[in-house]
Amino acid sequence: MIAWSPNEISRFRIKDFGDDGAVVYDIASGDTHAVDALAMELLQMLMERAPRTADSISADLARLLEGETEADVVDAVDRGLAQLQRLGLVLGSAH
Amino acid sequence: MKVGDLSPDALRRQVGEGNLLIDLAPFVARLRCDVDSAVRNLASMYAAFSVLPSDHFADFHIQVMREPGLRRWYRPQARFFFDGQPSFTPLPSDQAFAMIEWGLNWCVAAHAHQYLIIHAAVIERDGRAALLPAPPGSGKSTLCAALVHRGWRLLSDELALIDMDTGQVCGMARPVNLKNESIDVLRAFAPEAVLTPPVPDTLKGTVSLMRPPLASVQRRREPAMPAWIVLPRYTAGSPPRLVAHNRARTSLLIAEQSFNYDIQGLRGFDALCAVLDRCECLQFTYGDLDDAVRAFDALAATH
Amino acid sequence: MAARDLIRDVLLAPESIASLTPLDWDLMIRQGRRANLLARLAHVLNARDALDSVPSAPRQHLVSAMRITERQTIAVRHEIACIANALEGSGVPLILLKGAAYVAADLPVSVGRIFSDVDIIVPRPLLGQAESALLQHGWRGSTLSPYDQRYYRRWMHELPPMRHFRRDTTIDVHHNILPETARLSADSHALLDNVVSVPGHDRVFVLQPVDMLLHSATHLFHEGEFISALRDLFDIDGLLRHFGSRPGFWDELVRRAAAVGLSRPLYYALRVSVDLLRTEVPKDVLATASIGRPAAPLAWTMERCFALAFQPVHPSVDTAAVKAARFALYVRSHWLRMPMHLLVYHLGRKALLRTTSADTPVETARPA
Repeated sequence: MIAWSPNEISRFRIKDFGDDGAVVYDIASGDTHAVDALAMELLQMLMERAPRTADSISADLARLLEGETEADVVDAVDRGLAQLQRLGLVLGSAH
Repeated sequence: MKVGDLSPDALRRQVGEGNLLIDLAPFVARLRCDVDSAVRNLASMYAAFSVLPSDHFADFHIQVMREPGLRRWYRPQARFFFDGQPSFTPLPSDQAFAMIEWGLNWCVAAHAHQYLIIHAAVIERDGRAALLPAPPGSGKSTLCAALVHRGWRLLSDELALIDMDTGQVCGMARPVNLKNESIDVLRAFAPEAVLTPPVPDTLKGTVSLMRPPLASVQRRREPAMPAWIVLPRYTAGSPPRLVAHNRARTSLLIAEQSFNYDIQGLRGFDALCAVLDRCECLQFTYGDLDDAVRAFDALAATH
Repeated sequence: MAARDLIRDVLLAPESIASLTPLDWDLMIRQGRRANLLARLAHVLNARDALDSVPSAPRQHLVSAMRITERQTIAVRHEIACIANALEGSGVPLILLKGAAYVAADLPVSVGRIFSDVDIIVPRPLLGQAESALLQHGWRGSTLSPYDQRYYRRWMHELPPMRHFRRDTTIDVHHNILPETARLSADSHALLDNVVSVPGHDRVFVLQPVDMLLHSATHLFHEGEFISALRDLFDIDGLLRHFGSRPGFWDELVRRAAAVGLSRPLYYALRVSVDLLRTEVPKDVLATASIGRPAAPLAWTMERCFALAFQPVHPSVDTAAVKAARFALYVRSHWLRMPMHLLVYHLGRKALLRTTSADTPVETARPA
């Protein structure tokens, strides 16, 4: 089970375009990235409460997206977390 | 005193000696060139631009000179120098004026980091500017050339200079680069446009430069506030379509199309976000210039 | 017009900008750009709150140069962190040299400086481990042919430069801290015995102050091509000014030079820095350092040559080597992002007027 937390957020500058997603500037490396809206939602959720597992996030997300089951969203959540992890926005630690 | 006020002989002499300083607000270029065709094109394209006294500060010292030796006679070539340093490989000397233009663009893009510089065309109407970023071959220059003959002011066809403090964009209103078919297309669309004799076989194909409209040159010191980012895509036969484009992706695209976004660091990111905040992000597909004019007229009429 | 080394003059006397004409500014900006000293000038003026008094047009060039160096400093710090991360656990200590070392140690001389590669030094026996760790973390070996690779490894004092596949940055891994010239018999290993860790980073090391100086001096005064000579001389001047106030520094400098066999380059560094940049070196130190001075006729020749080598960077006396190197910085630098259509009119390759070093008068005089 991997527990996810947001990385040291002061390292990033985020411009949120809502449904269009966001762009993120990594101050240390100078890199700029686009992040899709779902991944941004995940990041927001982690900023409110962390560490959390992907399952716990999926459960909450399914509730927010009426009509979707946890199974439906779990793939999207995994992909979103992978994107965030690749950009250094979240860290996962094995438990 | 304008370039157009100099007699052909006087111009040739002055630029041959390297004493021609042209006001390319916000820059000044000091130019030296010994290629006659280039000097003639210069006279035509920059007639309305001011000449400055030779004891004036110049931002860029540029030389385009004929290659010495056998190359003076056999398939003559010319080479671009930046402050006396040879830059780029020599090209056939009939491309000398194009080299001046490309070279000036390079000078600005490589050195003017007081601006966030985007590779885009910029046009303005009623104080609002449209940025048209696009990779080469997307028809941006043709579209730009057409629109500035139908009510839009030309700021630039290549370099959007963004003031990171005020968010305003400025341009030099320099000649517009046209190639291949767009030369004839533009001639038909705007018969009043003044073009340099087309030069074939450049690396970009056949190239011609279009003189900037006089009103654009006269107002080139006026910046404008960006209001639209329009990604043009020309497809022959396509009906006009203007649709919203994802803002996050537009941001990334602008950053990628910027010459110095990376150098600017966080300041550049903040400036980029500010531009995005002010602009509607649109993708424009079209196949006909008259359609394009109408579409942009409609844009200008909004709020 | 006589060639004036305006950039040097103004760096030495910043208050003199008040008397510059527009043409002076014009020349100085161009000299400064060529010499890679524009940003340094900008920072010097900024530190005295004098940047605003610079006329608007030249000021933009100074601002522009500052933007580049500010960005590069951030990039170098990040690069150092990435390299430290890569070498972690490999058994190879991270010892930085030159510009990267100045940044890591937060030295004033790092401000306004242009950086290209990061230079590190690795003891010869650990080279394989270092290369392997770097390869594992995304650096790629160069595209030299196997023959050239062998040549590089055998005769140059570094591995062929390695480039990071994603960040497009270059690391130069040296294994010998001093140039291998037959004439210079110095104890290079000694310089590695006294490395110091950088404040706040116990895994990152730099040479101790006197060794940093000796290293810089030795390279500058053994170079066949004085490519960024004036800039490097300003580095030496900067290091001397910064460390010179530390108690015992000067004595140790001379003693250390003698101990490791670098008295001659030290002498030249002090002599030229004093003569051209008016560096404040205690008189007795200069006298003691003169043990490094060669016999009279040679000394005179060398000193004349150095004076020429550090000549004004001006088109009329500019060497082709300086021109080529200057443009090469643009070419190499990944800060100049040239979109395809501009690259297009390079015709695939940037052609530089590279003349051989035999063309320049200085290069024929090998440092003794």
